[in-house]
This record gives sequence, structure tokens and C-alpha cells, in this order.
Amino acid sequence: MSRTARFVSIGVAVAIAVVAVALLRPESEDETADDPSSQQQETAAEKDPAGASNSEPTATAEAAPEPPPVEIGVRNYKVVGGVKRIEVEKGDTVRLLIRSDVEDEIHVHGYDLYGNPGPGKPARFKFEAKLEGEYEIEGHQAADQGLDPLIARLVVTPG
Amino acid sequence: MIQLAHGVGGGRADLPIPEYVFFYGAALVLVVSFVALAASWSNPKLQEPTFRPLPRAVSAVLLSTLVQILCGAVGVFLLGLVVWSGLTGAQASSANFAPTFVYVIFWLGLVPVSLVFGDVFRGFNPWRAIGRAVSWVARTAARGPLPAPLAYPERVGHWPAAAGIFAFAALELVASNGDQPETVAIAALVYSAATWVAMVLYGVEEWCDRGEAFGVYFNLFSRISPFTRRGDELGLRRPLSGLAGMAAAPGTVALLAVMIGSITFDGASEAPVWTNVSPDIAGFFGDLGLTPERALEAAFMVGLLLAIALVFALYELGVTGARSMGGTLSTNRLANAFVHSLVPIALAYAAAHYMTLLLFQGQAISYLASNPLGEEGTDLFGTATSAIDYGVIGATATWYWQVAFVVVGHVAALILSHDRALVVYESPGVSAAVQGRLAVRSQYWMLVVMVLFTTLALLLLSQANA
Repeated sequence: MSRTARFVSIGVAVAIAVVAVALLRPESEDETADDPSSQQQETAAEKDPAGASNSEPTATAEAAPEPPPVEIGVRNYKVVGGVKRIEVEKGDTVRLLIRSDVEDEIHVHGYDLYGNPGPGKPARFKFEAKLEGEYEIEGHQAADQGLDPLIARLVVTPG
Repeated sequence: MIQLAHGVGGGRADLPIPEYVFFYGAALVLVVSFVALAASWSNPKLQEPTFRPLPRAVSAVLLSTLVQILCGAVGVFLLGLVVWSGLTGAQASSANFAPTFVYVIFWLGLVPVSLVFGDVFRGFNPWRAIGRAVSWVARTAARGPLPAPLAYPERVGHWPAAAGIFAFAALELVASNGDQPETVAIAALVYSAATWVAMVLYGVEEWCDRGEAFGVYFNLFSRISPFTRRGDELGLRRPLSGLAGMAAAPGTVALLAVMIGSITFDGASEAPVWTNVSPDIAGFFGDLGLTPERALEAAFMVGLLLAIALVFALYELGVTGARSMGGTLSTNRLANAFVHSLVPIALAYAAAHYMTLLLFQGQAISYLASNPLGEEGTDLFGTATSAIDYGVIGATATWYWQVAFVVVGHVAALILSHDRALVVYESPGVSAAVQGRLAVRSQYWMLVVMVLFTTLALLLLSQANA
């Protein structure tokens, strides 16, 4: 390949690079612009049925601006309804309520938080999602029984 | 359900790279590949070894007998510590020194070290150190040189290394108890015994250079490094030129396929493409009469073999395509001529996939080293209660690093492949123009293969846990 041809091809490549970036940029900006509004809609939609199903009058949506905690039920070391995926954005407050019919130790990996639910006393967690990534929430008693300890995954995406 | 995935992990996984990062990566790869091919040199620049010696004093100190003995002793001590803590310590992978040291510090940590500083592992290789010590004692006792009883068979080539790396990958990714401290210790003992037997038969250095799986593995990555050794002198060379000087042997393609394939499977095993079919495969083995645990292992073995076969097939596609473009070289010779260009791809796969595991789980070594057996109250260095800081790198930074690794590895592979093509298609009696055209045309196929490898890597990163 001659010298000029080489420079021409580099020019073409740079042009393609510029076009590619220009084409992709707005897309990603649109996405981020869309995100907050859709997020709000989602959380609003989530709030309503939760408030409706919650028979306690103290937990009405008006009095509490926070969404209700994510509830997870564990029966005989097995998570009811399958492993949950809890998605939050970095900086959100995560609230968990874990009920178990057996004594257990719940471990939120990464954040290294522990709670001890038992019959009649659920474990509560409330913390700020500071670390990005996907973290396992496990029941340590299940692991000792040779069962799959995973009860939920906490997914923290960049805000 | 049994937990499989990589041996140790601490319950944290990366977020999948989002779509727009994926497209950035793919676009970058195409553009950069185009530039690399169009603008790359028309004369080979990496084929002739270059060597600029470092100051004499540096070589004299670093290669002195004392330093060699000290480094070897460190390696032997760490091997001993892995076996001892694995056999006698707490049998929980998160509390014992052995699994995290072997799967994270040794296996992953030595890759960037080799990449930057060259073949450092050769100095610390515990099997080589003990082999040399024993051989020195034997030679002294015999009052003369002791030649190895057998010559290393040429056709065996890199096959023992390929088998060793495959066994390691199977232990990490397939065996359901692969992260158990005791399993790690026993595997280390078995591998040590096999290595020393081979050293007695074929000679210590000969086996280390060609058969010893980890020595060969880290040596491949160290060939990218600018630091090298020539006899008893350390020096600098052009980065990547060490790979061009690599002698392909029988089994080298298999070794690279195992290296890239096992990382591919590790990524895919967390993605729907695998988690959707693995229960069916496990069910099939269950019907054959295997216990659920063994059936799941069998399914994962099938997955690992499929991933390795996929990588092998992709490379063979490139070589067969290059062959079809003309020239007089056999497919086999072409396969060996270009295999070194797979090393940066293997590196890119390892870096993109294991960066966070090394950064996060690697920190665990601070408290594990202080309490290697995982006993109550032991705290040798006062760091037993330290914890992993998951804040050292965020998700967005991780995504861009991952894409950067994949793109840079891909470009390095193209450069190596192009540089080699210029030499391979040189033949007397054929005009330079014809040679040049053949070389470039052969590279169209390599370009296709490299783009496929890169897309596969990005796809795996965007699919994980989705």
C-alpha cells in the first residue's frame, strides 16, 4: 500500500470513528434522560399495589415517602417464590424485611451486614446502597444444611 | 443445587456491561482493526529479536545465586503453606488461605506481573527450585554431570502444558468441591509429584520450559513484556516481540484454545445461554444413573469442552480461510505460524473477565495470610480482621476497562498476525508484489476471526447474570 493510500485510509477510519461516536452518543444520552422519569413511574407503580395490599393503616403512601421494604420469606431454609432480584441505584436506601420460620443468619455480601431472623421475629436491614455490583444475600444455616444458601441478589447499578 | 462458578468469589459479581458500552466497544474494534490493517507496517518489525542490556549491576544482582535461592525458597514456602493450610485448616473456602491464594493471587495475580516484568514466575517456580536443588545434590554426589535419561519428545510439544491447564480449569470450574481447601491441597500435591517425576525423566529446565503447565502459561504472557533474559543478562526488547520469537510446537494451538476456552466458559456459565441448557444436560446425565452432583459436574465438563472446541474451531476457520487465499503453505504450518497472535487475546479475556475478582478477592489475602488456617484467635500480622473494600472501582469504570482490555488485546493480536504474515509469505522466486498481496489477503480471514473473538468477549461481558 502506498504512503498516500495509507493516510487516506487512516482519514477514513477517523471519520468512521467520529460518526460512530456521534451516532452512539445521543442514544446513550437519551437513555440517561429517559431513566429518571421511567424510574419514577416504576416506583410509583410499585408503591400503589404494595400500599393497597398492606392492611396496616400506618403504612399509607402519604405518611411514608419511602417505599415499603422488600419482603422475603424463608420457609424451612428455602426462599419462598424463588431467588429475588432486588435492583436499586447507587445512593438509594435499601430496606429489607426477611421472615423465616427457622432460626437463621442472613448475610448481605459486600456490605457484610448480618441479621438473625427466627420464628415470629423477622430480620430488618436498612442501609444506603454505596457499592456498585451484584451481591448475594445468603442464609448461613441453609449452607450448613447442605442447601443452596442464596435467597436474593442485590443489584446496585450506577445512579 | 450446588454452587459452581469460579472457585472463590466472595458473593460479588460484576454488572453486565450495558448496551451502549457494548456498541462503543464493537465500533471501536472495527475502526481500530481497519486502521491497524491499512496503516500497519509493510516490513516485518517484530520477527528479529532485539536486545538492549540493562546495567550490568542489575543483572548481576537479580540473577545472582543468592537471589535465585531466595526466590526459589519463597516459592517453595508458599507451596508448602498452601498444602499445609489446605490439609489442616478450616474447610471453608472463605476462611482458608489455600483457595484464594491458588485461584486468585497465583493464577490471576501473576498474569499482570508477567505482563509487566517478564517471566518472574520462573524465579519463584517451586517445582523448578526443588528440582534444581535435588539435581545439584545428585550431581555433587555423583561428582559429575547427570544427563536426563530421556530426551524430550518433539511431538509431545506443549501437550502436557495444555493438559495441565485444562485440569486446573476443570478443578476450578467443573469440580463441585474445587474450592475446598483440602481439594486444592491434594491437587497441589498430585501436580507436584507428577512434575518431579517428569523432571527426573526429562531434566529440570527442559520440563520447566516445555511441559510444566504454569511455567509455560506465565511464560506466554511474559513474552509481551519488554523485559527479557539472555543467558545471564537481563535486557529490554520491543514489547510483543517475545511472542514472535515463540517456537510453536505440537499442542500449542490446543494450549491457547484451552486458555481462551476456559475463560469463555467461565463467562458463559453465568449467562442465560448456559444456565438455560445446563439443567437439561445435567438431566440427561442424571438419567444415565449419575447422582445429581456428578450429573451437574458432567454437564459443566461438556460446557467447558464445547467452549474450548468453539475457540479451536474459530482459529481453524481463520487458518483454513488464509490457506484458501493461495500460497504453498499447509494448513498445519499456517496454524503454528499464527498461534502466537492468540496470546494477547487470551490476556484480554483474562483481564476483562477477572479484573474485579483480582481487585476485590485479592484483598482477602491480607486477612487470610494473617490467619491462614482460619482458626479462632490467630493473627500473625495484625490484619486478620481487615475486610474487602468493594469501593476501589465502580461499575462504570469496570465497564470501560473491560472494553479497553478487549480492544487493545485484539489490536495486539492483529499486529502480531500481520507482522508474521509478511514473513510467512516470503518465498524465493515469487515477486514482492505477489508476496505482499498474499500476506494481506491471508489477513482478511484473520481479521474476521479476531472480530469474532472480540464480539464473543463483549457478548459474554454484556450477558453475565442478565
